[in-house]
Order: sequence, then C-alpha cells, then structure tokens
Amino acid sequence: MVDITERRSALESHYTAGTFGAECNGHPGVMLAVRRNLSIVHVAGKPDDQTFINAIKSACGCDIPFEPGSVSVAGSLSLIWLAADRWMAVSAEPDPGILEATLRRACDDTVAVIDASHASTVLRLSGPQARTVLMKGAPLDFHARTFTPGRVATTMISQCTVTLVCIDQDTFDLYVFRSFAQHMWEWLRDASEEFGYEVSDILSG
Amino acid sequence: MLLIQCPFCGERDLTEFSHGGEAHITRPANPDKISDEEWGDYIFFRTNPKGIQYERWIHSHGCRRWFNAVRDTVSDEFLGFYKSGEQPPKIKRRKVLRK
Ligand SMILES: [Zn+2]
Repeated sequence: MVDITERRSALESHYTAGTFGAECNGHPGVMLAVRRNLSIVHVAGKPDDQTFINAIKSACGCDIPFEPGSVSVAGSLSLIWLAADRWMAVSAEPDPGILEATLRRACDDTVAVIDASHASTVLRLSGPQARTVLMKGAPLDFHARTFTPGRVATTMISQCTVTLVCIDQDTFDLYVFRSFAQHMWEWLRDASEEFGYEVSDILSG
Repeated sequence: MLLIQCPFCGERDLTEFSHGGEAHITRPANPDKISDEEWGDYIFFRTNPKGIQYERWIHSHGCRRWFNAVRDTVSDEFLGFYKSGEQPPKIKRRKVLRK
C-alpha cells in the first residue's frame, strides 16, 4: 500500500541531479538544490509582550529577531523575520508536528502558531554567481554589503512572492509557495544557464 | 525604478506594492441612518486632486502591511510615508518654477 503520509517534493518529477548549461569545466557558477523535510511554523504575536518574548526564547533557544529583515539562529533552527508581528521558525526536524507542538506548548492563546511545513518549497542556491542570478529576478538591493548573511527579505521573482534568506555571501535559501515551485525552479535553471550550473542531490533538511 | 519606503521594511521597488486609494476615509458610524446619497459618497466619491494626495499602500509582496503615503499626483513624487493610525505629516506645496 502507498504511504500517503510520506512527504513528496513539488519538484519530484522535475528534479534531475547533474551539470547543465554553459560549459564550465567542472566549476559551475551556480549550484541548485531543494531542501526537503523541513519543519516550517509561522508565529504571530505582540512584539511588546514580554510573555511572548520569553516563550519564544524558551521554545527556540534564541531571541526573537525584532529588527526588520533579520534572522536568529540556534543550532539547526532559524527564526526568520517576516513582518513587524510575524516570524517563521524553520528547523531540520523531520518529524511532522514537533516544532509546532513545542511552540504551542510554550505560547499562550494570544499567539498564533501555524504549521506551514507543506505550504512552501525551499530551494538552496549557492556558488559564485548565485547573487548575480538573484539580481536578474528580484528588485532588491543585492550589494554584498547590504544583503549580508543573516538577512532576509520577502520580494518578488518572476511574478512570485519569494522569501530570500542570505545564509552566507554565496548561499541563499528561497521559500516559495509549493504551487509555484515548478515555475520558480524553471526560472532558476533558465537564469543559471549562462554560468553553467549543477543540480545537487536533494538535501534532507 | 520608483522606490517606496515601507515603514517596516525600508526602501523597496514599486512592483512589491499595491495601491489602496485615498487615505483617511472614515466609514459612516450609522449606515442605516444616512441617505443613499451619503452612502454613495462614502463608497464611490474621492477627492482626486491634482497635486498632493494622502493615500494607502500595501507592501503586498513583502511584509503585507498597510501604511500611508503622501504623493504628488502630477510628478508621482513621494513626499512622505507613515504608519496606519499615525498623524499625516504636514506637506507644504512647493512652488512650481515657471519659465
Ligand atoms: Zn514592508
């Protein structure tokens, strides 16, 4: 019998590992990968509520990033700023519901905690030309001194809303709604074509 | 590239935003008691100035928050940005240089 609870990537039938695009003599300008089995939980709470601040700190192990466009990290968990009262907790915890349950236990009912793990497809873009590829698509200031590691911005690439997180100077995570995943994947492959790109094996976590 | 200052995210490109029409229009407190004409005024009629307009914007492809902006409808120049609920900034009409 088919296990219907098994998580399937939106890109499952479009994903082929290998090297593509322009000849790059083993040095692809861009590396593309899909990150699978992440737990993604959206949290909305009052930024001036000390109980909320303490609850998130105890559940996540890091402070809420209040500065617009910033990210807090504790081990494999990231707490990502989305808006003045909304954040996204992302962890490599593969068991569904655990991160949500932890946050729910810690917070009272003035805080909204929603498991959105299945709502997004997360793509990882890295390599020396990764920043250039993003510059082709998003109307954001991608200067290496402005969009630095630990920064996040929600913006638009090819008509889709994307949340971009800068992991390090040459590595970025793209959160895109699952139903736009194939479109974004095709756009990224097309934009990376001129540099030569490698599609890595699927990243679990 | 026309930049808009989201009061939460900072300067971003126009394409991330959606326009929400004239700001500071209050819904009548007692809709059952007012005339159809007064209700029609509230729903449909706007100032439509040539010059400075106070208007609503939403950072729809960003933090998804509504806020207010002051824009000159002649030049499309933005003259100020402020959060919903804040007092609008006083903007002096600048003198137009004539040849
Ligand atoms: Zn914003």
